[in-house]
Amino acid sequence: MSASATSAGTVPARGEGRLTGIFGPSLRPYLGLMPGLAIVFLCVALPCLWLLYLSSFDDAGRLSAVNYERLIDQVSYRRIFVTTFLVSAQTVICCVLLGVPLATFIASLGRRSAALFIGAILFPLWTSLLVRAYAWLVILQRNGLVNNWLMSAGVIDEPLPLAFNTFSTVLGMTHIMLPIFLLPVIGAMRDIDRSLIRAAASMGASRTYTYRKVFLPLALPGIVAGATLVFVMSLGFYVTPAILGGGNVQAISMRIARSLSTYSNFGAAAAIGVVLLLSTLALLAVSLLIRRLAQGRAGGGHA
Amino acid sequence: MALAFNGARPSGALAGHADTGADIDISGLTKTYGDFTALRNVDLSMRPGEFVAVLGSSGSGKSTLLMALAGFIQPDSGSIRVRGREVLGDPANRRGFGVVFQNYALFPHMTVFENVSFPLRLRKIARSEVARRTEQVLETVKLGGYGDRPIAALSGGQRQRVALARAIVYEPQVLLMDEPLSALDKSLREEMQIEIRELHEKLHITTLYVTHDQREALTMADRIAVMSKGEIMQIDTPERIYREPSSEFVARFLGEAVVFSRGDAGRAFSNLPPAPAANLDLVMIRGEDFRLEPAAREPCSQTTATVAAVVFQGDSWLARLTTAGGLPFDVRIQRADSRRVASLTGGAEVTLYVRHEDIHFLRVDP
Repeated sequence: MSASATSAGTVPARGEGRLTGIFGPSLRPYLGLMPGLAIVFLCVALPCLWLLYLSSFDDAGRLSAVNYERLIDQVSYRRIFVTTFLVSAQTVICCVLLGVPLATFIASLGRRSAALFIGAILFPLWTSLLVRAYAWLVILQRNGLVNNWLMSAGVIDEPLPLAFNTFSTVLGMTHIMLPIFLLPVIGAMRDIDRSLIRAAASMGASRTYTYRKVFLPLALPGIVAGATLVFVMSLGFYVTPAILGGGNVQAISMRIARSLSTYSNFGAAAAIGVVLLLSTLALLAVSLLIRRLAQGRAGGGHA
Repeated sequence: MALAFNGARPSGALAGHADTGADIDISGLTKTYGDFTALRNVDLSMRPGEFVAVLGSSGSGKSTLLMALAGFIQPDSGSIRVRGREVLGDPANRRGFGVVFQNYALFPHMTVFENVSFPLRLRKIARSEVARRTEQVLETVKLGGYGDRPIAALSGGQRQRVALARAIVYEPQVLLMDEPLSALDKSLREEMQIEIRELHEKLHITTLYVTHDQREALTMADRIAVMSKGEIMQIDTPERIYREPSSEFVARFLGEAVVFSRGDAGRAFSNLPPAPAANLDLVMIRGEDFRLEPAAREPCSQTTATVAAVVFQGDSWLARLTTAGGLPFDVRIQRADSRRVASLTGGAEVTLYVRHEDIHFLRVDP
């Protein structure tokens, strides 16, 4: 910081510690953060750099961009990225379509009943992903619950292809992600001042008009936060697409696992990881931008 | 209805009504929450264009009354007639009343213009008309040119004006205000009191104004309704309710009142006038009606009291006294008498005079 340098230079340190002279006065308050920053560096930054390092060598151990070239050249890689982003996007859409009405309902409840519903939503989070994925298989497979019922009821003659496709993958992922989506959305909705709803009604607005023009816009930051969370987490999903996709849905995470376990190709796996990381960060930036714009209108803008 | 803002010709979706606000007739309004009675058989009639302040402490039911009128609380029984028509069955968004909320309830995601034009936009009024009327009402509340500001960039007083503008922009027949000035500091509050009063004189919207501030009620209202425990204790013009309170509660709630039982007063005062009726067993005198000298040509009662303490309070002195019988009471001595106050030290005896017309007899509150 140039400011600290000048102040350290012009204002003589009154012998109250040499640190002032070395780092400048403005750095001192941050010294206490050092242990925390060190942990973040070790656990987050270092592995990412390590990933970047691994991805920049070919099989023979020479520095090369071959791992990234493969990602661009091979159609199969591109398809995997497209599939993963599409499945994630579909999961987000399902979460929004199911979650926004549900969150509206829960946010409108009294404190006790709301706690009950939130508890019911959070409860599945304690069961294993694997168990939930297999539970969906029991329901969706060729001779699963749904097909058996429909066949015995005479609605269909042939079992429907419910499992091992994008449909079952998105369904399973929505099931897992919905609670994660709901929490920030319910939070945002509960924070909305009820007198705003009353004010809109007093001016003659119908319930739907108030919902569209007042309630939803104010809940939007929460919805964007929830959707971003779901999307980012969906990008790295492994167990659910692996089981419910049954090999028909190729997610990035599965390709990374195969590169490592089948081919022991750390460079290729690392390159996929880096690209996934960068695209996720780009997405977060876009989401942040949207929220900034929303908040810029809500407050502060040009004071 | 003709709300001639700045002399412009009125034209609104709600035009076609008479020139003033609606008359309101509330009768037998009752609302209970479990064991708690928020409103007990409240009757209140308001003339078209009248400004009524509902004055009460918190929990007196004054806000419940306003919320019932606005349609946010469904009373257990009673009726609310506006222009002779029962409105209790109408939901809040069909009543067409303007409401100013205590916390303003401005939409934080909208600009000043969007907030104020909200009630017009939902009425499917042509865009140019919306813009014209919104600008006009913003001028009226002295916020011309503030349309593009976000709400967060406004001061408390400006937010108050936006809330007011939004409540009157669609030309409602009835305006309900729930302690709209309580969040402002004192000088701004006094300024806004005058402004709202002026605005009311210009627009003649029938206004129900809920407040806990007696000075605010006295300053603004045509009539004041004092509420306590869900009941209207008295409703009258500011001057009459101050001069002739009908009960000890009202006497103490508005202004400073010295209240003695008739027996105590008889012992403490000499030359006390007779009570106009037998059941009026309390004697009430305003603290500022005690004088250090007898009035020239008017009959006075007098009392001798011992000074406990004298406190300077800027515009006046507060003297804490005890009667010969040992009853404490507070009187207010105007600054004009400062010279004589000097002699009022603790333990001194002082003779005080009260004109007969300043002595009021009250019933004991049931």
